[in-house]
Amino acid sequence: MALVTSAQRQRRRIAALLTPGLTWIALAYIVPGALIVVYSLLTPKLGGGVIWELTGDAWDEITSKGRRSDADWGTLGSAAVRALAAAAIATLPLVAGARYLRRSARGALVVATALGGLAGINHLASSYNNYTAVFARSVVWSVWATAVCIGLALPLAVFISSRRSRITKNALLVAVMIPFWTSMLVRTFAIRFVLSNTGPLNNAIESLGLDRQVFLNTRFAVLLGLVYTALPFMVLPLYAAIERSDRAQMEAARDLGAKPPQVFLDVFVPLIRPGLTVGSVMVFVLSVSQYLVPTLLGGGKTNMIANLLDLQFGEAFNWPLGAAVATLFSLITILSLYFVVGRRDGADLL
Amino acid sequence: MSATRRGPAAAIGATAGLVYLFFYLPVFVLVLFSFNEARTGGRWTGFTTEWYARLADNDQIKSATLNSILIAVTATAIAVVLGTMLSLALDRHVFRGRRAAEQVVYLPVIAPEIVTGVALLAFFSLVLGRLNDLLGRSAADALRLGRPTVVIAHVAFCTAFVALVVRSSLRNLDPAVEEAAQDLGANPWTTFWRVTLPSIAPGVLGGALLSFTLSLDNFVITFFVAGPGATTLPIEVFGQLRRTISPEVNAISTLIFAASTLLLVGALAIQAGASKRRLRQFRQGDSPSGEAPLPDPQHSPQHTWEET
Repeated sequence: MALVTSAQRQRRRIAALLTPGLTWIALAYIVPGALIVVYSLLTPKLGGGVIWELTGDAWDEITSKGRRSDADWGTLGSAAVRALAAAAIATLPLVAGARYLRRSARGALVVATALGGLAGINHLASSYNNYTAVFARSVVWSVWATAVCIGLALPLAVFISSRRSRITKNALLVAVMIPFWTSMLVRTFAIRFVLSNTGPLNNAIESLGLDRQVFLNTRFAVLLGLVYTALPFMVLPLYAAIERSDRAQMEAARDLGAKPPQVFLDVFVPLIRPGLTVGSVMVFVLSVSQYLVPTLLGGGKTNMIANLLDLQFGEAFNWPLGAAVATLFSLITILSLYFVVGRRDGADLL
Repeated sequence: MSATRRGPAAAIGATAGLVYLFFYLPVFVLVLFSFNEARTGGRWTGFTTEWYARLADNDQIKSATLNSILIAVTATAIAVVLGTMLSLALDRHVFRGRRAAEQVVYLPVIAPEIVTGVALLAFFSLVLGRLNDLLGRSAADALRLGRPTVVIAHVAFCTAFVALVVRSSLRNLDPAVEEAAQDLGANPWTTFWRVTLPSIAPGVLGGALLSFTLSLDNFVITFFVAGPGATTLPIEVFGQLRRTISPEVNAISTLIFAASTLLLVGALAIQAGASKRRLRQFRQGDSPSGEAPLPDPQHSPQHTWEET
């Protein structure tokens, strides 16, 4: 009897600890998220908001073929790309599951097929309608940003981790944490200021006797901004993974005659895979939903998904259309998290 | 990686140097030009502190700063309590639905901010609209988006981050210590105040600083839920730098950068002090020592979500 009361008391204590925080987060994330799905099926109200009448207009608008797409959609070249994209997507699981291939070869094939499929999807989406074009652009830019971040962060993480002295290591880490921690707005503005038409970079170029260049409002500026703002999110997980990895395995591989590229691909990369996954997911999710970078560095109105949402909620006042975009975006994010991260690495992430 | 192979090591070192240059050069240029005399353009003409002096007279910036601090303090005060409670439940108890509870706590960490922003805008307008109808408010004195809605939004994500940070410091506290206190007759309440809290205080303080910074710097979510009445500093600065590139924006950006850096160094110093103390305790006992002092990635906020 006493045991039951104590268990009950325990349960009540847990509930008391959990309820306020969970309720608050659920109220700010789950309820509004569900509301957005409902809003995507309602009628827009002039000046923002919705009229509670069901309609599929928003989804029609997003999913129907755009007027401009007719020229490109039916051509032979487009059909070929479509076939290639389909082939790439179909073979991806086969390639990924091909156990008889060496791990490094399989990894390279997976990356190549995924990039091929992505390029095909991008081509098709860009010519389908404006919404799919913005989605495709955001995804492709974010994949590029993630790839560049891996390329820059991996050497940096290895460099920090191979320092002998604790103090040097910590100092180098703090130097990565400062940009990680400081305002995204300030960092994006710093890039905008440096790249601006009359800015320091152009002055430096001019003083070398060369012509001024337009850097701002280009694809280059957006990609640079995406990498600049997201890079610390890649360095820190990679560093943690390298620190935790068992270096003896690499030495063993080397002693057994593996060549440096083999050691890198077959031993080092699998060892730091959790860090690579966490870093890639963070960089991708951050980049694909970026608002400040495409707004301040990209110019234009509908550069990336966030600009589309801002437009529908803030200026065009078609909330259901914005809600449909947000729903589709969340769906794609959740699905790609699920597929990319998978079950095994998902356990590391959460 | 090994000292015997010179070539790769040099390439790695060079890349690392370039990445640090990439991190700091734009910010350095920004700071430098906040002291530049010329009103426009990126040419250095001479040193001045005029732009900082002008900031002090800029009422919009001042009121936005005040707003930001007020919101950050309120949100942090609530989030520290809620987040610490969550972390205690998640780390010290085993119960059905723990995994689901964990996933809810992780939601603010992984959800794209832009979706959260527009979803909260839709949610708040709906709730405020219904409330106005219910209370019979006219258009003139209707409840609108403002400071309270910003605080509600900020508390949600700050709570999640506080929970993650405090949880990682709870993991370093042996539950046996708390059990001993209870065996000696302390009730759970006393145990928490006299044993648990003093031990995890650095984590709680670190979580509070993180929460304060996150709230202060947040742009995207605030942008959608602030409404015209509660302009925060990032939103004010965004508006100004969109209109024009003026050295005043450089000056305020420099100050924001300096403030966040100071907060970070403060948080790290607190954690370093705590782990040094822990190290000393370990050395007296039989636990393995040699734990990392300063920004041990296992204790610092940005790594907590991959540790579970």
